[in-house]
Amino acid sequence: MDLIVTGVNHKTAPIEFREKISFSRSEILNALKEIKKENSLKESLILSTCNRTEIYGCVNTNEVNGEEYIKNFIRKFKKIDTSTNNQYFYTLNSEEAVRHLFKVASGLDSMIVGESQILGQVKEAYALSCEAKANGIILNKLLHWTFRVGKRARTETEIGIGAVSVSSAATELAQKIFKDLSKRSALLIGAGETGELTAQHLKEKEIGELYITNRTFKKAEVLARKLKAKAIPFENMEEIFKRVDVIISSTSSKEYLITADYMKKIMNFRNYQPLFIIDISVPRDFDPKINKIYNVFLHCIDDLQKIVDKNLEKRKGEIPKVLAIIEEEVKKFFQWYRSLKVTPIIKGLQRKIEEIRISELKKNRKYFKEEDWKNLELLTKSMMNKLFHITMIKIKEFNEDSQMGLLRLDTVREIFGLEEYLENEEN
Amino acid sequence: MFIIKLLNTLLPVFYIVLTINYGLYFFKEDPFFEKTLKPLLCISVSFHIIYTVLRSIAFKHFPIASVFELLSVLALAIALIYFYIEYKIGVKSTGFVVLFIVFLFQTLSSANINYSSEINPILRSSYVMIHSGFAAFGYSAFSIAALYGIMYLMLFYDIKSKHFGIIYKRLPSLEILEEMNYKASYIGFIFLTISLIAGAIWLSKVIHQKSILDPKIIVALFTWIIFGISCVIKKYFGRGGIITSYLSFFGFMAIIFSMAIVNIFLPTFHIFY
Repeated sequence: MDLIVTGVNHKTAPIEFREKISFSRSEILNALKEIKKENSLKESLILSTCNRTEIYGCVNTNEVNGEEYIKNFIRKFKKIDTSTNNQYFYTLNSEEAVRHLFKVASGLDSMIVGESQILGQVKEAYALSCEAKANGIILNKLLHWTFRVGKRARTETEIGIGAVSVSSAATELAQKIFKDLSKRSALLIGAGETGELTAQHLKEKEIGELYITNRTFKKAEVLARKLKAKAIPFENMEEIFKRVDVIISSTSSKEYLITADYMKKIMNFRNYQPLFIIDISVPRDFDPKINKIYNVFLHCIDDLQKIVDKNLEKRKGEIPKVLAIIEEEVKKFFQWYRSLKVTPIIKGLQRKIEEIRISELKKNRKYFKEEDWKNLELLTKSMMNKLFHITMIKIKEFNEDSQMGLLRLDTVREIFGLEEYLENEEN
Repeated sequence: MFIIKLLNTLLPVFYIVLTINYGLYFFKEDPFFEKTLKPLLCISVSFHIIYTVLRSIAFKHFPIASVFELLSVLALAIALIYFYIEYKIGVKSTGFVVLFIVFLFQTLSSANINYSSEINPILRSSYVMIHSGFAAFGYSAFSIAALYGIMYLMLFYDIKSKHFGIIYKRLPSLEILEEMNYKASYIGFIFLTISLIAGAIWLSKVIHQKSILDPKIIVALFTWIIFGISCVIKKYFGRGGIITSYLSFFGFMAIIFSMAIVNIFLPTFHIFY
C-alpha cells in the first residue's frame, strides 16, 4: 500500500480546466463513497479549492496503477476527457506526496504564499473524508500530522504575517491607529470592488458601524444590504464625515471629491479626533494635502500596495524556514509510516518462532521426564526470546534506513515465509 | 548582609535577562518569549522589592540617601509602574525600551552603591521620606510617560510619512500608546502631588521663609504643571495624542536637565540642605 496524490493546481492548469474538475462538497462526498466502493484506493481524500483539485489516496494493491485510476475516476465522475489535458496533471508518490501535502497546508503552494485559508480547506477535506468513511489509519495520521505542520509553519516562522492584499493592508493600518475597531465606525464612498473588499475586511474585524454612500443611492442600498451596513444619501455625506473614524473612498470621480480646506473645517468640527482615510480611487478622491492636517491619516492605493509588497517579500524570505520544518516532519512521518510495515513483520516473526518452538517441543515430548519438562520449556523460551530479540533490533535498524530498509524487510519476510502471518495481521 | 549583597549583584542579571526576552519578543514576536515575560517580570520585581525592604531594615532608612540608592529605587519604581500598565492594557511590545532603562539604572546602582547606614539627619524625618519616595515614583512614572510619548510620536510620523518599518510593525496602535502615556502621566501627577505636599509641610516646619528659590522645587513645580496640563488636555478636552506626547517629552527633559545641573553645580540636593 503506497501513498499517492494526483491532481491539478494553479501552477499547472488554467482556470478554465480547474473549474471543470472542481468538486463541490456534495460531489466530494459522493466521489469518496464511489472510490471506496471501487476498492482501488484503500483510503482517499479530495481537496478541491479554487486553486487546486487533488485526490490523495493509499493504493490498495501493487496491481493498481494509482495515477491512471485517479485520472480515469475524475474523467468518469466529472464527465470530461482528461486524456487530452494530461499535461495539467501531476502525480506524486510516497515521500513526495507527503511533502506536497505539507507544503499545501503551510501555504507554500498557494497563489499568495503563506495564506491561511488553505489550512482550513485541508481540514474541511479531511472532515468530508471522515464523513464518507473513506479515511483510514494512514490518512488519519497523515492529516493530523499535516495540521501540525501547518500550525508550526505559521507559529514558528513569519510565513503568514502581514497583510498581502490592498484591502487587508488598509485594515491593518486602521488597527495601527485605533485600539478597538468595534468601537469605531467607517464610511464607504462608492461601490467599487476594492472598496467593497476593504469594507468587508473591516466588517470581519468587527467595525462598529458601517455606512455606505454612492451617487446612485440604489447601488448604496444594494451593497449595504450585502454588507449589513447603513446606506446614506450622497448629499448627507458631510454629516457622516463628522462622526466616522475611517473613510474608504473608491469612486470614479474625475476630480478631487474632498479638498484640504473642506477637510480642515470637518476636522475642526471633529475636535481633531483621528481620521483614517483610505483613498483607493484612481484618479484620487481626496486632495493629498489633506494628509498634512493634524490627526488625518490619508493613504492612497500606492501606499497600501507598498505595505503588501513588503509583506510578500518578507514571506518569501521565510520559505527556507518552512521548508526545513517540512523536511523534519516528513522524516518523522516516514519513521512512523515505516514502523507500520515493521510491526506486522515483528509480530509475524514472533508467532513463527513460537510455533516452531511449540511444535518441536510437542514432537520430542516423550524423551523428557515430567520434572524436566518445565525447565525445558523455560530454556527453549529463553533461547527463542534471545534469538528474537537480536532479530528485532536488526529489523528496527532497517526501519531507520529508508529505501534499503524496505528491501531488507522484504528479504526477512521471504526468508521466514511470513506472508500468511502478515495477511492474517492485516485482516 | 550576604543576602543584600547577593541580591544587589543578581538584580542587574535579572533585568538584563528580562530586557533580552522583551527585545526578542519585540523583534521576533516569538510566542515562546511572550510566555516567559510575565513570570520573569514578576520574579525580577519581587526580588527587587525584597532587596529594597531588606536594605531599609539593615541600614535603618529608605534607600534614597545617596544617588546610587535613589537609582535603585527609581529602577524599582519604573519596573512597578510598567508592570501595572502592562497588566492594565495588556500590551507587551513596549517593555523592551522601558526595562532597558530599568537595567541601566540598577546596574549603575549595583556597581557603585555603599553599604553604610550613614545618612543626612534630615532624611530621618517621615515627611522627607514620603516626599522623596513619592517623588521617585512620580518621576519614574513621568519617565515612562515620556517613553510612550516618544513611541507615539515615532509611530505617528511613520504612519503620516508612509514609512512602514519596524516601528510600524511592532508597536501597538497610536490609541494604545496614547492611553499608556496618559496612565503613566496620571500616576506620576498623583505621586508628585503627594510628594510636593509632604515637602511643603516639612519645609514650613523647618525653614520659616515664605519664598525659597530652589532650582529643584522650581523644576518640580514646572514638571508637575506640565504633566497636570497634559492630563487635563486628555481627560477634559479629548485632545491627547501628539500634544500630550510632546508635553511628556518636554516635561521629562526638564527633569533630566534639572537633575544634571543640580548634581553638577550644587553641593546638596536642595539649596537649603
